[in-house]
Amino acid sequence: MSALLQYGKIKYECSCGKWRTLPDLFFCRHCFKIKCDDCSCREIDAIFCPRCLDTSSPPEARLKKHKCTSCNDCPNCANVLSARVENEKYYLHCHHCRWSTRDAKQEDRESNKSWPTKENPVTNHLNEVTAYMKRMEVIENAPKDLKKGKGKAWSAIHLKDKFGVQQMVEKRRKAMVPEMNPLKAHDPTEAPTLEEEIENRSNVLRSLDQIIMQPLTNSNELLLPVKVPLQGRVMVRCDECERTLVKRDFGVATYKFKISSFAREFIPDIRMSRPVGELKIGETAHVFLSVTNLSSSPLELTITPQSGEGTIKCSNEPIQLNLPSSKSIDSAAGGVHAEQSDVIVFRQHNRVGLRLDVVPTESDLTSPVLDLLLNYKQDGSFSILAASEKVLKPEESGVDRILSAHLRINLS
Amino acid sequence: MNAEYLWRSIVESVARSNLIFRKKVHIMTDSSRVSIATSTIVCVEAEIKGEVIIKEGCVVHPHVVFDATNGPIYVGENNIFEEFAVIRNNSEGQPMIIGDSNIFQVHSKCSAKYVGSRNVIGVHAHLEDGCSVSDDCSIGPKCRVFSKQNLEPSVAVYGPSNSHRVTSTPNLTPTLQLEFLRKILPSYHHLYNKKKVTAAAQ
Repeated sequence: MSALLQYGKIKYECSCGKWRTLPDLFFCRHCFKIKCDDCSCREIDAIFCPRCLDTSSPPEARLKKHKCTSCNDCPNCANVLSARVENEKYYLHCHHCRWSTRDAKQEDRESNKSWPTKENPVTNHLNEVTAYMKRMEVIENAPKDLKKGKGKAWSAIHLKDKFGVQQMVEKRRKAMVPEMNPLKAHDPTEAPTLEEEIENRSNVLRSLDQIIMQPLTNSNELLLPVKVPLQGRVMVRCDECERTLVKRDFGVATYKFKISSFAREFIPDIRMSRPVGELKIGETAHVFLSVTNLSSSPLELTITPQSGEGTIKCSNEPIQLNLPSSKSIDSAAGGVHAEQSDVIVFRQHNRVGLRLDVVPTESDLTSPVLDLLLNYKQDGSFSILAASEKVLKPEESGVDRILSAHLRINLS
Repeated sequence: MNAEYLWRSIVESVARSNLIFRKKVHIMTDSSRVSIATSTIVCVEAEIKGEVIIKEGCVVHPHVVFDATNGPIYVGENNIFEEFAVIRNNSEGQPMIIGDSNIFQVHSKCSAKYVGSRNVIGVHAHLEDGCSVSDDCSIGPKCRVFSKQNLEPSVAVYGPSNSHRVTSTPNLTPTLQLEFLRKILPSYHHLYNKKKVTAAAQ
């Protein structure tokens, strides 16, 4: 979609200084700043299976090893495995390459859930080692923990040992230091020789995709169904005020938003309405743009072409526009100023077509970039702030702020 | 040498069975070159040219093309031809033989000289001129069987590089689907047989 609308050629400057296309940006209504992927916080909102849309809580997902128990992919061609019933028993079958669990020498099962997967062969050993490390941690921290509880008065009693406190302390220390059974070091297994490896290898050559899907399976073992990995749905927050920018509606099956402040809904959307002709040094070329107001309030807009280093020179004066909101389409558009009538090509509801004249120089031809600065004011767009701001800053509330956006258009 | 002999025997046996079949079937349409069994459902939008014989229980959806201008096409029982499937005999006079219980899915193309039984030809799959497919094969979506290639029984062709593998699971015969189509298609489509029959009666 963005390729069709040529969004890729027009980049807006984010508040962090990066250049992004408009659909990639968010707008914080409280900080009045444009936010991009890199300067916003993300948190996982829900974890779900992309196939069966079954949600699971984070601890549940960890228990499942972030894989769905009921959905499986074909280990051979990575397509969906579907269940077939024969004699009231299930087996999985790929419609694409006709791989089935019978090929993996798996018996048909009574339930379609939790098909076996290849487990790590040293899981038990790993668990032992981690348990050992935890005990070591306790031993290391035991003196520190004791010290924490130690006060001045306590030390005096400790010296006298009037009430048998010393014994208690000793007891406690003993209890805190667990028994230590040093683990055996893991015996290094001998590396297989080349002959052995060739001998054990099956004739089946596996593709890289197959190996990546099941990294634990050796080449002489049969492939097992691959469980579908769970996915996380993300919620976006502003990194400064930590207010939510994007939040999806409850339930994974919906596509609606509870909170959405995408930049498109707040910043005038500028697009190229016609492809730019060939650029020649010293000759005036026309750039046709369309400016759309997708916000819910009317817009006062000034477009100022910037001329700096590395950007193409634009001979137009700053253009002033009034754009009605996308909702009040019927309202009469602001009159076209006589001196700007050669700039404005068309007016259509909440959209205005502009023609800008650019004069390229020799240095521009390799990467012609048109630099524009937008200053705009939206009537009452931020009235939701009024309630809290009226109390805090009475002089600022009710006044529409003048906002600005900076964008670059790639003319090549 | 052996394959040549086998092929000839197949052709002869099919020709013999067709002879018997033609005697049995009483509907002979299109100057007695297209013969369709009574229980077969062919939609009127299907395009049938040349000598085509379709036996009992088949379902032919609209916009299927049977082009037998270069050589005859013999179709067995209980096959399903879905929309925009193209069955074209490109050989010079050689017959094309299609067995029983095959499914030719949407937009598939077949100009093979022989297709066995219980095969699934996927969406946009292409059986090129003069190839042959034996029984229980499945050709994946957009896959090709190249000309003069002979598929062994129970081979699946899949993936972007037309990989082959031998399978152990059988293709299920589409009995339920056939029953459903036989019931539902006549209530929403004009049928080839009936139109021709009524035209002949007038």
